[in-house]
Amino acid sequence: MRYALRALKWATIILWLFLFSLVVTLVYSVLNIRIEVGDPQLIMENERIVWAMPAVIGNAGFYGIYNLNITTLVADTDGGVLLKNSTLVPLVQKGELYPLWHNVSLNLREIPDYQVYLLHDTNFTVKYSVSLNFARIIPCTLSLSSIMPWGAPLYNLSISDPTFQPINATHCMMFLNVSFENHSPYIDLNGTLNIEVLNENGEIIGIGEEIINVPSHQIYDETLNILVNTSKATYSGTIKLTFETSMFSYETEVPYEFG
Amino acid sequence: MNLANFSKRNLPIRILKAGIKAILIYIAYLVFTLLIQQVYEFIGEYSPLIDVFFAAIAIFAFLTEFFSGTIFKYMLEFSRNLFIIFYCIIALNGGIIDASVQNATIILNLQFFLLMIVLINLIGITRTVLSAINFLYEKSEEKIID
Repeated sequence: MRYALRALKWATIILWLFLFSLVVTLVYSVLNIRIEVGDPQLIMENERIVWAMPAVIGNAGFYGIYNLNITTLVADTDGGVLLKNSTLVPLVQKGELYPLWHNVSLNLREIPDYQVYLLHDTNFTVKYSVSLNFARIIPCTLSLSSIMPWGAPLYNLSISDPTFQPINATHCMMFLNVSFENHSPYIDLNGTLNIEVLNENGEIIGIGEEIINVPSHQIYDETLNILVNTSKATYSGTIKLTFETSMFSYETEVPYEFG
Repeated sequence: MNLANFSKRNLPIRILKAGIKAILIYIAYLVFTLLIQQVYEFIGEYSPLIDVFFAAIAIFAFLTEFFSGTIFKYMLEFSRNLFIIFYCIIALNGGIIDASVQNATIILNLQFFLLMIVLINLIGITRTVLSAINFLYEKSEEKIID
């Protein structure tokens, strides 16, 4: 009995010492982890807006950092997920200085019903989540959420009723005022505005193209001139406007009547 | 049962020994609070739990020493180990710590440590039970010899 008791006593002591030393070294290691986050950069790629966040993780502790996963999720006001980007670092070894880039890429065309966000300002919820397994024994997750105001690039888009001025027996000039405000802090609108004037039968009777260049937070207010073939014109019809930029395309139609 | 060991003559010595043990626990508590001073604001809500834990351990240390040489010592050690197990399970929320500060949430999985603490205390309970059996056996032997 005495030997058994002595063995149990020593087992308890050794386990307590092991636990204590583990806690001390873990706390020391956590205190010696340095995370430096650089200034995020905004990169406009072909059809994408990319927020690139540089960071350096310095692990000067005794244990490795496993499965470091940084996730950014953007959701609309109803909680619907618009985009989700993750960066996975399998291992940051002890004594290692690990540089990483966490990129959040937004392609408007990939967002469901993205045309709503071209016309209306809203607030998106941005959720950041960092999960890791420290020393393979302490999984932890840090979550942050913030509000990102979204500015519509075609905010308050208004198209006036067209006016017509005869030129000759077969043609007239149509004047159409188009205005909007580019509320987006990220998108500079560079592209074209294509206008098609259609008669009641859907035949094109006038066509025009306007190059638009509206930087962020600027107003666009232009009167467009389109030559219309009156020989095929009907009493009423539709005007089709198509905004084509590298980031998105947006199409709208307005009815018209010859005065 | 074994209360005969409580002679009035050695009572002050028992109280003195028990008091010293309890004071040592209190000093450990003070050292611990000094060590965690830097991170105190993060664990502020857990500070009453830490206070209660050290107070309970100090009381157990005092009583265990006070009743040493009696069967009550083993009962108290058994109770102390059970207390530590259940206390840690409750205080560590089953091993999952979930803390929120403004719009940030941190979830820590400390189940490994909880498992270690439970394991060590289960070994402690086993040892206490065996010690109690050994104690009773020796006492009965003494009676037979007397």
